[in-house]
Amino acid sequence: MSLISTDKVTYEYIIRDKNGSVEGINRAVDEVDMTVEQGEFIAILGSNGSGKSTLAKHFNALLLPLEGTVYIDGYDTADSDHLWDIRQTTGMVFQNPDNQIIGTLVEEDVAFGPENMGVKSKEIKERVKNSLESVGMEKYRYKSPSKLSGGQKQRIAIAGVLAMKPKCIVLDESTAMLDPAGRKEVLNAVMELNRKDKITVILITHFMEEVINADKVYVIDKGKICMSGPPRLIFSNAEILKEIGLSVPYATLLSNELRKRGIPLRDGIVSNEELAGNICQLLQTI
Amino acid sequence: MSIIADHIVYKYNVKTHFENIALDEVSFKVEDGEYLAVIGQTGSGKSTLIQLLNGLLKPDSGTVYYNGEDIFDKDYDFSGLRGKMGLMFQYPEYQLFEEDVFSDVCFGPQNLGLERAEVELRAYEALKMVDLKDEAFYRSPFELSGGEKKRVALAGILAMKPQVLMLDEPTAGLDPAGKKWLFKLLKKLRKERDMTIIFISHNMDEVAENAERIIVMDKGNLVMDGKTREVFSYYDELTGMGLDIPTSSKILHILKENGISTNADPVTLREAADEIERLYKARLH
Amino acid sequence: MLRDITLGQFYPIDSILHRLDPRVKIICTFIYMISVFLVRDVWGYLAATLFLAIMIIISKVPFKYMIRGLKGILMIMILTAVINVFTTPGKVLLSIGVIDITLEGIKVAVRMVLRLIFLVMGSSIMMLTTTPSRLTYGLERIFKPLERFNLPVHEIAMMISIALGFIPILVDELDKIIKAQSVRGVDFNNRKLSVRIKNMIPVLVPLFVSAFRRAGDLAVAMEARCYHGGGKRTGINPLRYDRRDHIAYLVIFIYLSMIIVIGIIF
Repeated sequence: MSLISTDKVTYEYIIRDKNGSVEGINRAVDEVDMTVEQGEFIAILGSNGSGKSTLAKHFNALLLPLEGTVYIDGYDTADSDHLWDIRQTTGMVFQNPDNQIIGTLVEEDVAFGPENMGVKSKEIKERVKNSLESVGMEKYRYKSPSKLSGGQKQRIAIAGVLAMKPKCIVLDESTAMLDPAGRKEVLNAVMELNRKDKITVILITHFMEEVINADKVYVIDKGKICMSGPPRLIFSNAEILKEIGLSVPYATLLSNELRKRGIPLRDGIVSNEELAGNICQLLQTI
Repeated sequence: MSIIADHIVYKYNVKTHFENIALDEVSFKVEDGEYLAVIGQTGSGKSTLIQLLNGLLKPDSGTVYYNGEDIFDKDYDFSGLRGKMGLMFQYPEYQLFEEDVFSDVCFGPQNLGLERAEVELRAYEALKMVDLKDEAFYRSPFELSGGEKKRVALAGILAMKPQVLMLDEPTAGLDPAGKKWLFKLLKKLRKERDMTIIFISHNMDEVAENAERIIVMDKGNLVMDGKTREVFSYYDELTGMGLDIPTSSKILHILKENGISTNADPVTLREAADEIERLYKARLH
Repeated sequence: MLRDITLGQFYPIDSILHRLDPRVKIICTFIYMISVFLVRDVWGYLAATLFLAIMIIISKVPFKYMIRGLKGILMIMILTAVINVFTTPGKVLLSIGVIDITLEGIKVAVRMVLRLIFLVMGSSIMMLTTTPSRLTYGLERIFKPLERFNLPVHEIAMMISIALGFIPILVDELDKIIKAQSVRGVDFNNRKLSVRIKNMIPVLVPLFVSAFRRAGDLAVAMEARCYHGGGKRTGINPLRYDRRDHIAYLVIFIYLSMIIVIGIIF
């Protein structure tokens, strides 16, 4: 059984004018089919307004599909009897670090989820400690979250999700508001969780470089999945990506340019190290 | 005509336990028509610096001269400065408030005391400049997408026809297409309106591709000031400050580490491609 | 920076008072406040002062933080004193024109001012030794029985503690909005009332829009973390009465009895 599977999921927003009458209907998610297996690192790539965030909110039953079904660990999200099981299975980290802090101390914030689930105090303490250790924030346990940097706040939010012992973490554009250092912090933290604890990660982003290490990338445009596959395959379609407001990693861009100039580099280069390695190899074998 | 920062010192929480120097004796000069990027880690004083340049913050000592006049002098015409120096903050949500997009863009020129016809003309021109679709003119600014809000916010500043445009992390939150669009517009503004452009960025590739000069801030100090290529040649110093460098420099750096001798310091994609092509052809012959 | 504004007045050190259960502190402060209205004579005031002094000492909070709260009500104290001195009938000590200063007036004034000082300093001790979140949690637990009458005690406590967290963020945001609108030519230095009122619109609209957006985001984030009201929630640091808490109740009980006894005897 897949951890997450969606079947022709469709969601629409209704646009109203000033007087409240319906002006139009915006199909934000359009017949999306996807499956996510336990332990995978999945990336969903899309430009501003592509519907990627709307889709993400279906994985946690924050939104219910207008048509189609979403299954999380075997539960249909439309089945309200299992709402809390679903939310516990797939935890979400959102975009704005300031808008998801609930506690006045780091410890209280991380404890919020398990408190809601009715976990016993002693176990909450244990979970808070372990979750903070997993994201390297144990030093800040008794600090006020308001004094932390953006990247640190997002790591606290991840710890808050971990304390609920989820099978999957969905990062809904969680790196969009951070500086490069903060982005790296958050990305490293989730990649570590994926590798060590086999937690499934779904990363929603518009930064090409962040998806290089994903097992599988879904590219979404106007609510539809227009491509899916391993990063290398996705980034070999530079033209299509450009058309939908996206791009390819810098190394891919440069290797495409070099190939155009007649330098026989291999296909599917996505990282700087790969590109440099390939150039070295080429120069040394001449 | 120029902007001169003269030994600016700015402190937070003066006379409390938390007193903290945000800027320490910062001096530099920006000539008309320059295209300048300010880089530095979060908290290095970049934002404080550009807020001082247009008088939003007052320095604790030192001053700023705009076109030869001290902007912190009590007789200085501050409202006049507002029309000449534009600043766009990172989040467009800070400035949008009117019922529709067009009125919001009119707000700035209106405050300059211009006539209604002129105000509307400027607003229209500015909205055209940022490529906003006509049908969005009379929509509420709050209903727009993030990218569109940014365009409206920028139009609101451009309608005041500033000579200097400062932008605090203008590409934050924009997707690749949005970023490309923004820098194309900045280029056009420089060419057509002769504007001086100063922007803050964390993305070194966009700095390398666009700026002609870079100021590097570190812990409240101006530590480097020079031509883009020159500044980025200080690989170790920049990475030592926790800053990124352009991807092209990074790739060439890996090549050097692997024993490929090159003296070039490419910062843009084209330059990197040129250098690698040269190396390749040299080996072929 | 504006973010450094401290909310509430919590003074972060460790003392017996800091470690007490917030419920104990709230209830004891309340009892102390009542006692202040029971005292009538010198002995009573002496007892109340002594009790306050001991609490200040064992709280380990510097005295200057304690009297900080008094500065805020200085005007009220002066006003109370003046009104009482001049309006209380009794044995005239001094006449200035139509105004008589009476002995009774002075007595009443001193008594009132002392009471005000006791009230403010008593609550200051509580605020200085308890974090805002513990305080709200304590209040929530004290008023929990009222939930039986459909009073949303948990929800109110949750609202208060979230609001406290958002205030520094909104203060920071307000500063940025004012700057963004200054750039667009709004003159915030203009002293004319009509202009100042007009200038509030471009500041308040973005602030409200942002506050609503933040509230919406937070509601979604809470829901995503399984929040569904107070029902079966547990706590990471549940309130449990310790030995020292029982001792504290005993102390305040002895103090209150003393005050009552003094009132009867003298």
